[in-house]
Amino acid sequence: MAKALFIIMAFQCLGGLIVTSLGLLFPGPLCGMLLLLTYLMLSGGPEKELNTAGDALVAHLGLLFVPAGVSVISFGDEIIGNLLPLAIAIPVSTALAVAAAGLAASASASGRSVGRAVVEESSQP
Amino acid sequence: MGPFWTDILFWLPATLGVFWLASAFYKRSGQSPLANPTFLSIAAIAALLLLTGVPYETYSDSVSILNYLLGTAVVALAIPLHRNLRRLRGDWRILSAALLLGSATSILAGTLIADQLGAATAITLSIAPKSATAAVSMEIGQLIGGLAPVTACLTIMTGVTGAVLGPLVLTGLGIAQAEARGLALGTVSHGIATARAFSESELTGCWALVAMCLNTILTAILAPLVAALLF
Repeated sequence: MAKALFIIMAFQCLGGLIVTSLGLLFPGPLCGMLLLLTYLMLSGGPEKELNTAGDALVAHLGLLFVPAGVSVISFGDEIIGNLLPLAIAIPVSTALAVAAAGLAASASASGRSVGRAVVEESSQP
Repeated sequence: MGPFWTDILFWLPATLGVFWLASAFYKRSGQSPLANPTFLSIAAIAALLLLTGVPYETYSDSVSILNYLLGTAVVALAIPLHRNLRRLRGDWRILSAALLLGSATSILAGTLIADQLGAATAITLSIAPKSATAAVSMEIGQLIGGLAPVTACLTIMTGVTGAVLGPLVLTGLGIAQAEARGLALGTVSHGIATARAFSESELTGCWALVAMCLNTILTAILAPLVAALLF
């Protein structure tokens, strides 16, 4: 387990260092994820131990996120002051985006099944 | 020395205990997205902090290990992403079409609707990264001039609404293929809808997971662009 955690945390550290030293507008852990992905592709995939540790961490994302979510108690006023725009923008944009992504995927999928024809979104039911 | 809840050692086990109870409730509810354990735990801990009058800083110091491990878990997403990219035999075109349209629609529709309805600029910017997985969306929100905790909260809302409404929208549009459904759910509503996608089928879930990871990267690129160009 120590080796697996070492690998993941070393990439976390490296990702953070790269982002800060280059002054990038990019999240450090995400940079670490891209580095780990590259490492996995080059090394031919994770060992069993790394798989187990990675899956355990990912399975607990919901728990690990709780403290960050709780910080919203300091911003109650901002949320209440903008409640109406938020209550409309979030569900409407979410439903629109699911529809757009789903239509785009099924349009390009049916494009594939009929050969190389370009199928536009409007041809979908 | 104050009561036990002011002790630095109290809040870490309290958080784990609350999450454990919330997870049990989530399982009992038949894994309804409305009973999302993260959302329930945040609400319960926030209520406990307000009741006991413990400042967020005290809480945050006590659970800082979880914040650190949150970053570790984001890095670890590369492992299931790598596994699923290898296993799934998909078409690069379908994947990129769904990702680009889903991601751009979420960012643009979210920010433009809120802006038109008169939301404050910091709030509008907090909305932009809401389709990325919460741990990362929060950081993107901060980077582009939004409020990280607000982004965190809105991201969870996006996950819950996408997990509840998403399957209905897709069915209403006659989209039945596992690949398209998984890609749409994972792109727009990250982990919460990915859990929902796994309850439809293993294949739907795997596509959702790939879409969630890739859209998190895409949002980190698109949200700052939209923020710079429009607001």
